[in-house]
Amino acid sequence: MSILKLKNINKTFDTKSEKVVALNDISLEVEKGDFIAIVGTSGSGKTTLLNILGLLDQKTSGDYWIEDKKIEDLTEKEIARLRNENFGFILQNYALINDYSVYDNIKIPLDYRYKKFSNHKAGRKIKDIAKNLNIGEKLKQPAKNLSGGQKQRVAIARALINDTKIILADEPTGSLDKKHTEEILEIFKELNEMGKTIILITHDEKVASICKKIVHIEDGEIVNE
Amino acid sequence: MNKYDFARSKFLILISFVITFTLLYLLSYTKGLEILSINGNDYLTDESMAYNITLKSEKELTVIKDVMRDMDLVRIKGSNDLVLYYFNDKAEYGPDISWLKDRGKESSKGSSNSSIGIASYSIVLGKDLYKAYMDSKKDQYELVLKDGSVFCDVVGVLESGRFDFRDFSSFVLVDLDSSNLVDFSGVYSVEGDLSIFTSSLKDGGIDFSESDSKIASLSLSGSRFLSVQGIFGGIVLLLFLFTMVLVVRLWFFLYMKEAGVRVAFGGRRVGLLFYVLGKYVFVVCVGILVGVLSFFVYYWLFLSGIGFGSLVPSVIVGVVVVFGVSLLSAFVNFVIFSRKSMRDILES
Repeated sequence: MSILKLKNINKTFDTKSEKVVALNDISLEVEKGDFIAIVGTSGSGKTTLLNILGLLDQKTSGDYWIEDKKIEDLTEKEIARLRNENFGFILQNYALINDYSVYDNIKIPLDYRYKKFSNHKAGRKIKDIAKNLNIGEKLKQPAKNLSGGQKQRVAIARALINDTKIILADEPTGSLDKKHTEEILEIFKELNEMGKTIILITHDEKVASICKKIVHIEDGEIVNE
Repeated sequence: MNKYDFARSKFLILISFVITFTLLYLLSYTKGLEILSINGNDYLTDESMAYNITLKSEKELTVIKDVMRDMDLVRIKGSNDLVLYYFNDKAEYGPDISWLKDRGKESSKGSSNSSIGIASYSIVLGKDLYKAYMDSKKDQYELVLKDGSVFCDVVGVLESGRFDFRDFSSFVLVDLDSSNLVDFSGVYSVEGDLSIFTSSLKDGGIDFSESDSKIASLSLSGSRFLSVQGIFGGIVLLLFLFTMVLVVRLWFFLYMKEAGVRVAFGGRRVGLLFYVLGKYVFVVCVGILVGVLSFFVYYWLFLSGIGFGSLVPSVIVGVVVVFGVSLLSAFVNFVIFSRKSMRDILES
């Protein structure tokens, strides 16, 4: 059974002068444990697709299922919960709160998952994940003091803290040098081997090559899967 | 509100503080408390008298005067008129001083007619006065007006004067008797919008040139914003408000990214609007609170005789304006936030 299923998804943006078609009749199925690279040039619609997959953006038309739940039938509150429980986001610019400590950045998803999650349990969980990602010593530091590679590790830790099933990564190595890129990709591979479903956006074929499946997208359409 | 929010909000707190303080100062500094008449001479106790001062704004003020003191200055807020008036613990209704009329007219620029009891009298306005001092060679006191003219004859007259204050308009009466120039200290309580303060002696005289630096009263009435200073103050105020809107927008965008991150990890967009608003309101309130407290401290430290009753309306108006502008700005940002795509927010 597909963990994610898109059927005939369209997305258009209204600008002052015209309607821009970002996605055109996209259909895609993602199985549990998949490691998919969505590859395309800038403006091809790959980020829009990722945002719709991650429930950050709404489609204009078409159908979208997460497991057996059809998104159109859900309220905003249910969608927010679904996003919290199912998706971990990793973005090119890290999307960290720079003034927050590493610990507090990682903790954000827990704030929405558990209303009465004890600080002790949260602390233990955060420390474990941070240790595995080699940022255990940085927990008290503000995120702004970290290097790019360290920031991305914090972003990964934040994506993992909720034990989400799916990780959505938008150009996760786009701001990193070769050494850090390899380290981050290695982490992705390990996560996938542990059973995480990973959908990764990149324009770098080398990065895409580590994935099990590659989806090419051009002008809002899937041209090769 | 955690330590991170404070770290990010320092500038907004500072701006809110500056605007609140400036606004309160401008609102408190009103023009136009012009005296229409002074009536009274009623003894409250053996040692005090009450004078009802009617302003042209039709407000009536009551000045409580300690009759044991013989001279005080009354600064009418914003009017630039210093009013010196004579009291004497032995005073009853004085003799006819109508003969002062012509002499006063000759000597004082900007004077106006009024009456003292049965006398019609020309007065010297405080704004025309520069200095009062005792000329030891002549053994008399002199008034020096700002236009350079010397107004000295009044000295001997006032030394023996007894005045009925009824039906006064704006006026200056000077008692330059040496025994009365010794002690000008003391602050007198005032009901309404006036306060009284006294000037210190300088070289045996009263230096009026410094009196403008002292502000003795607060009022929301009058026409402060029609004066040159008021217009200038208004422009400054508008610039402050404009700056605040810009700063708030920058600040809001700072939080917008946090809101975006929280939405990505399970927060609801609508809920996050309130999350950001809550932080925003808190920070602005801190700025306003600091501004209001500083304003009070400023007045109590540097200006005597301030009345709580007259401060409260200024504070209320100031806070309402600052908070209103802040909320308006927040609303504008809300609209922007709600229309932005998550990608834009996360990448901001």
